[in-house]
Amino acid sequence: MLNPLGTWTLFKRETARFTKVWTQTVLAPVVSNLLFLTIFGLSLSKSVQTVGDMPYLAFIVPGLIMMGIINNAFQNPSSSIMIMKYQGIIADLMTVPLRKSELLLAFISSAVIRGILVGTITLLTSLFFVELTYANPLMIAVSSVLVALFFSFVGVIVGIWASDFDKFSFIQNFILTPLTFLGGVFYPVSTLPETFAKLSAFNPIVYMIDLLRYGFTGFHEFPLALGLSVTSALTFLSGLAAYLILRSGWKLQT
Amino acid sequence: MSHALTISDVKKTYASGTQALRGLSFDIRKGEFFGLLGPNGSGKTTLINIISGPTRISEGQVKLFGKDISTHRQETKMMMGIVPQELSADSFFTVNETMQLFSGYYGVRNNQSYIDEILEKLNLHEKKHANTRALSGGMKRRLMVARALVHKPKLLILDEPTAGVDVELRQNLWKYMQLLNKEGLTILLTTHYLEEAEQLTDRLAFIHKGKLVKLDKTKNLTKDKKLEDVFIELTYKSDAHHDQEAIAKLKTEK
Repeated sequence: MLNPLGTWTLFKRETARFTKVWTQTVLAPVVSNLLFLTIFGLSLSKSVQTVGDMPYLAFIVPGLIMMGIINNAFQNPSSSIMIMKYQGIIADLMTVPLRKSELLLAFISSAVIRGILVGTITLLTSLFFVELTYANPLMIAVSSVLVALFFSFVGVIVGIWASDFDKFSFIQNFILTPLTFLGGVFYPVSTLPETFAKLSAFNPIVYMIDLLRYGFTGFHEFPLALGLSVTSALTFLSGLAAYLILRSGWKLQT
Repeated sequence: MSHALTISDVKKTYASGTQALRGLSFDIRKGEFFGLLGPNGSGKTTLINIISGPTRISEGQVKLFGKDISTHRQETKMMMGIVPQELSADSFFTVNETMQLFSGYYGVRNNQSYIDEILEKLNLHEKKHANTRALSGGMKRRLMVARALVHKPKLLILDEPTAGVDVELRQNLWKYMQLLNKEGLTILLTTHYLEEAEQLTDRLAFIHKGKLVKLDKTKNLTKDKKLEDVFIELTYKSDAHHDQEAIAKLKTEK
C-alpha cells in the first residue's frame, strides 16, 4: 500500500523546516560563500590571476557552488533527524503509515532541493564578481543532482547513526569539511606536490568538483568518465545503504 | 465475536536480553473501551510500541481488525491513532500546522473543518496558531490526543494520556473519549489513575512481568473490592508471595 500524500506531506514538512529558518539554512551558507569569493578570489586573484586560461575567480566559483550543495544536502536530513531525536518525535516516523522507502524519498527530495537552491543562489550572487561560461550545461545539472543525492543519503545515514550532536559535529568538522576544502575548491589538484596529489585521488569530492568545474569552464583534471563513475557508484551505494539501514530499523526501532 | 485487536502469544526480548513480554495473549472487541493495567516495567508500553511500530515483535502475532500487522503494516497503521507516553511536539510548527501534517501523513486531504472540531473539543482552538513551543505540558498532551484523532482511526491507543493534565481538562478529555467510544471508536487505555480505568473501561487486563495475570469485566473485578486492592493483589502481593516461596525453598534446600 503506497501513501503518496503521506510522502508528499513529509517532504513538505522537511522543506518547511528549512525555509522557516531560511536565514540559517539558505542565507548563511550563501554569505559564507560570498566571503570566500571576496577573500580568496579578490585578494588571491592579484597574485594568482589565472588557472590555465581562465580567471582565478571563474575557477573557484564551481568549487564554491559544489561546497554549498554538499553541505546543505548533507545537513538537511542529518540535522532534521537529530532534532527529531532531541524533541522525542522520532518515534512518530515509525508510527505514521509510511514505508521506509517513502521516508527516504521525502528526506532526500527535500535535501536535494536545499542543496541545489543554495548552489543556485551562490551561482547567481557570484555573477556580480565574475563572468561565467557554461561549457556543458548537462554536466552542470547531472553532477549537481548526483552530488546532492549522494550527500543527502549520507546525511540520512549520519542522522540515524549519531546518538548526540558531538558525533554529528565530528563527521561535519573532522571529515566532511576537510575533505571539501582539500577537494580542489580553491586550487587545481595537479599543482599539489606529487604525494598530496596522489592522496587527493582518494578523495571523492575531488572528482565531484572537477565534474562541475568542467560543466562551467570546460577545464577538467581527471577523466570525465572516471569522475562520473565514482560519483554515480557512490550515490548508488550510499542510497542502498541508507535504504537498508532504514529498513532494518537500526537505531530507530527497538 | 469480531475483534478490533488480537494479541496472540506475543513475546519481546530486547537486544540487552531483557524479556519484556513473555507470551501475552488477549483480544479487544470492536467498540470496546479496554484498559490495560500493570506496574511500571510490566510491558504495557512495549506492547503498545509493538502495535504502533517503534518496537519490533520477537515472536507471536498481532492482528488489527483481522489483519496481521507484520504483513499489513501500512494498512493497519492507517486504522489506528496513537497517543504515546512521552510528551513531545514538533517545535518548528504551530498547532494547526501539526494537525495538517498528521492529516497528510494518514492520506487525508482538506481536513480543516474536522481539525477545527477536534481542537474545539480538546480546548485547543485558542492555541490553533500558536507554535507548539508555547504550549504547556497539558496542552501538548491534548495536542497529541488531537493529532491521533485527525484521520478518524478505528482504534485509539492512549498510553497514559492524562499525566500532567489538570482535573477539569482531564474530565473534559474523558467526556470526549466516551462520546467517540459511543460512536464506535475502540479505545485501548493504559493509565496509573485507577479510578479513571474503573469509570471508563468495559474490561480490564492486568499484566505483570510481561504476562497476563487477569482479564475480566471491570464491573466483575470491582464487585467486591476496590480496583486498587485488586491491582495490589495481582502485582505487588503476588511478588511478595513468590519471594516468600523462594525464601522458603532456599531454607529447605539448606
